[in-house]
Amino acid sequence: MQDNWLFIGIAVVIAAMLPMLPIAAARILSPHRPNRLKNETYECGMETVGDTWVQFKVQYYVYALVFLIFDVEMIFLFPWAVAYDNLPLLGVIAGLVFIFLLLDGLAYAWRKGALEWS
Amino acid sequence: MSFFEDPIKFLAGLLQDLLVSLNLHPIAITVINNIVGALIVSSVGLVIVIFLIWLERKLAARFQDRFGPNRAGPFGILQSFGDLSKLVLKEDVVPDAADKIPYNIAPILSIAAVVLVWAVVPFSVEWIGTDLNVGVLYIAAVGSFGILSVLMAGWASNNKYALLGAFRAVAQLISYEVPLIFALLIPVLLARSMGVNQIVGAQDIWYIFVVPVAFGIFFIASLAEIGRTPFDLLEAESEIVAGYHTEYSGMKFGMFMAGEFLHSLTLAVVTAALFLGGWRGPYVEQLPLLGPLYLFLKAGFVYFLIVWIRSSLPRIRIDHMLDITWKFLTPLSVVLLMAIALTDALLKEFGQINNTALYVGAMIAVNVVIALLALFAASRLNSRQRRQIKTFEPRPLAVPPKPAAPAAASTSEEASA
Amino acid sequence: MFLTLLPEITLVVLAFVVLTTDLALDRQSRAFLPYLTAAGMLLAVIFTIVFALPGDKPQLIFGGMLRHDWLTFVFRLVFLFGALATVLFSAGWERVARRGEYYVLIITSTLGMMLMGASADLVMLFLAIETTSIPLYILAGFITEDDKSTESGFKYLLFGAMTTAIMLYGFSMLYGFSGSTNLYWIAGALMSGELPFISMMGTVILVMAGFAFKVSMVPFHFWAPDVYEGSPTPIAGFLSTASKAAGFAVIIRVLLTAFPLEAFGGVDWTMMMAIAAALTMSVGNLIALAQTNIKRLLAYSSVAHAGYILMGIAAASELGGLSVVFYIIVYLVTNLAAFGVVAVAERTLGSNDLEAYDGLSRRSPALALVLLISLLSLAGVPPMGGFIAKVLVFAAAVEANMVWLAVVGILNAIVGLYYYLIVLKRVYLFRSEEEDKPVPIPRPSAVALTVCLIAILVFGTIIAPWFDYSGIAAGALF
Repeated sequence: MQDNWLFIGIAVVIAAMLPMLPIAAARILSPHRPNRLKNETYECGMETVGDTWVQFKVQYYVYALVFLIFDVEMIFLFPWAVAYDNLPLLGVIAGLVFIFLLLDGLAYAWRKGALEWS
Repeated sequence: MSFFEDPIKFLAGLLQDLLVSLNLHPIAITVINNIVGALIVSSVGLVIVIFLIWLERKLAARFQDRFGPNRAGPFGILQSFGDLSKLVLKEDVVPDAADKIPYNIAPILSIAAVVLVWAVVPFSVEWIGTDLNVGVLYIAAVGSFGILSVLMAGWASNNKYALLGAFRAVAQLISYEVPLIFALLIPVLLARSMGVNQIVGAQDIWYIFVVPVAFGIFFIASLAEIGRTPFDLLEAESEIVAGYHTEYSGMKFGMFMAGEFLHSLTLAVVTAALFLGGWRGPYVEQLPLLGPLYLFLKAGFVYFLIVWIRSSLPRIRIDHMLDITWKFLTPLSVVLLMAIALTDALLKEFGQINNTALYVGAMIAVNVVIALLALFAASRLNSRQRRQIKTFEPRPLAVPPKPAAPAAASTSEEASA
Repeated sequence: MFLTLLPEITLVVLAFVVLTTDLALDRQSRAFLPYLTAAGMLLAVIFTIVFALPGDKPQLIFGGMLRHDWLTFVFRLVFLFGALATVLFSAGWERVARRGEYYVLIITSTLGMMLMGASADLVMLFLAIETTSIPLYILAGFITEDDKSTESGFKYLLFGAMTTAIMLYGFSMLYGFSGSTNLYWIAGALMSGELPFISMMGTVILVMAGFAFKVSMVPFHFWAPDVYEGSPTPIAGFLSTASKAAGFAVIIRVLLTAFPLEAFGGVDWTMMMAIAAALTMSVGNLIALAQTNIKRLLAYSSVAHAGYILMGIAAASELGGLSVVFYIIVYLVTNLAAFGVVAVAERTLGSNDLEAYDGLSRRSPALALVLLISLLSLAGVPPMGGFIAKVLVFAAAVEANMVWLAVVGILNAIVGLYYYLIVLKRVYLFRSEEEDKPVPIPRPSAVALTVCLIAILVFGTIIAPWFDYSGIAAGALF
């Protein structure tokens, strides 16, 4: 078991190295002649106006919040699905109630207009 | 054991013998073994991608009645190497306004997130990077690093188009993560295991034939996860230049491009493993070398579907994109999970769990019924929404001043005074 | 085993039903939601009495997570009654009456309190406290268009999050010292092990931080006046009664079972609690003298009452436990009545300043009468329930050789009487220009106020049965 995670740990290092290699190679091989115009922000030829990092549409937050709830609850369901053979029928139903409450939450968000883009 | 029976095992045995003969510490042997394994597994995908890019261009060209690349080498197969050398030699322009650290990490992360998934992909009966007992969870967890790279790239570029692309990307990726993971839960539930190889091993009948709707949900959601048409809003070239990687050039852009192709391939392979029986096929037990062949044939089929859809469908609008996942796929996947769990539990309760014909029949029946109900509900909802849309009234170009204007003007003057 | 949890299960189903009904109904017919909630809670009360009656021997259920005994039973009824009255007050309070989420949050919070009263395990306890607190944070800031309400919600959240973090740190130390999360096993581990006094006392202090916040014990009382002032008035009542009762339910169970006095050599937590009690009631009463807003006045008075209840805990005897349970029950009905009156009056008066209460007895004699009886009961005047409750805690303090604490308590009671009488003076003796405008009482509030009024008088006159029941409940701790 620890071997498994050792493998993952090594894979993380290698996975980070793999894309670094070509980028490093390009750094050595490619020309590097920056100038002010070249390094400007690219907006199809226009000069950029104002700050880029502005407030954005609040709806993104709402979707992110709904997602967060689902994401956390879904993780709880994985052990339930794996242990399915050892569960009595009551355990299955308890899990279903859990999912059902999740669905109710979705219905609530839907009805209250949290899922509308505009 | 000869080379042809199981070449990987044969070579691994050779390596083991070599290391033992060098009198190394056992821990060092384990570490070296792991390093070699991880290197092989990580580079498989990257090597395939080089040819995959050629294949996709060729396919896309055929769909559009063109030839596609046909100059470099036979059938233009060396085209990708030409592209690669061009990218290596191109100047890497970093905008002055960029936030340098995340700007440089993002392309690395975009490849690394996908490469890591390959660690748990089973290529054959015993050929697997590492057989994690939480493999599916690992795929879901590592896969979401990709979102991070997109957001980092978009934010760090300090470019409005890039930021818009990143916002869209994050909204899309997190929204489709929900049905994706629910659909992932279904094979886990059927196989009673989160290990990818156990799931493949449990597929005496491919899961696409047991739970076709789950496959459909997973496929659509993964299309959105990889940002392929019709879900390519994150880099919609007609609206926001190139989306989150507008400011990238040279090899860093190449990494994003390769990452996108690799992501598609990876999801095709994962789909093949989870729903199409993975490496399973005739004679694979006797000849493990057939395993990767079967796996990549199936993955190739899925990939072909992806390219086909890309060539056929237009891009969808952002509100439609969000509606599809939140109002259709998510409820559908939740209901499907509940129905399948209940069917399974009931069959077990009545002692029919080993009656394969009944089991598969019941599962398919449940799937078909739920799919029909979902489509019916969706069409009802759709027509209701359409009725609500009012007819479009063109606005006059010049608006005549309203009679009530003087009073309003005077108050505004007072306010300004 | 499931029958013993039936009241909790009822509440979960009720929360679900209310939420779904809220989605299905239009604005007009949502006025029926509070009655649906009240009916469901009444059902939970019936289930508690009929199905979830504890046996002679207390039992640990759900893997030692919960303890089913008479204390659990009594506190369940206390919380359900508090929630029921709050829902009825809310039904007449227009700004929240038709908001389905509001009732769902009250139900969820009540569920958490019921689990708090029953939990016998640190993990369960923490979960229950969070289930109680998080809905209360939202409820305190429920009126988003009112800056004061939002502010109170945020203040409550910040204080709550910080003290919860400290408490959790204490839990982790407790687990580290004893190797168990079960309160009853922790006690055994602490008794046998030779832990240094300093680490035992440190753990008590850390754990108490979280509980002290819930009961607004000095020095964790700063949030109370601001939060009560800003939050919707029915919720202020809920916070000062049911939520506080839940805090005390946890304090007596944790202190008396997990930190047995025998485990400390010589100096133990009773001295600490006695000092905290004296400080809490003095600070609460003295600051209450200067208040001009009735909600803030009641907030400081509720801080003071936490001090009186802590006296019973400091006694750490059977009489102490009994007095705590009795005091909580009486305080619950009394303070609910007081806040109920404020909620009803606020609708017409449009203000919570004491000046607005001038001449209330002429505008609504019934409302003034309820206020009179509840404030006199808070002050501890016979024949109201508050008198008996105070006598019991003082007796417990004297029995535990803390005469000085009883003296401080009596002095404080006198101070308290003064500011309660100031309010009553305005209500009965002052005149105002708007005396011809009556203050209407919505029917659901009237029902709740009547029940509370009767309860106050009954607790003060027919003492014996309640005394016995409190004794049985407190007996579950020893």
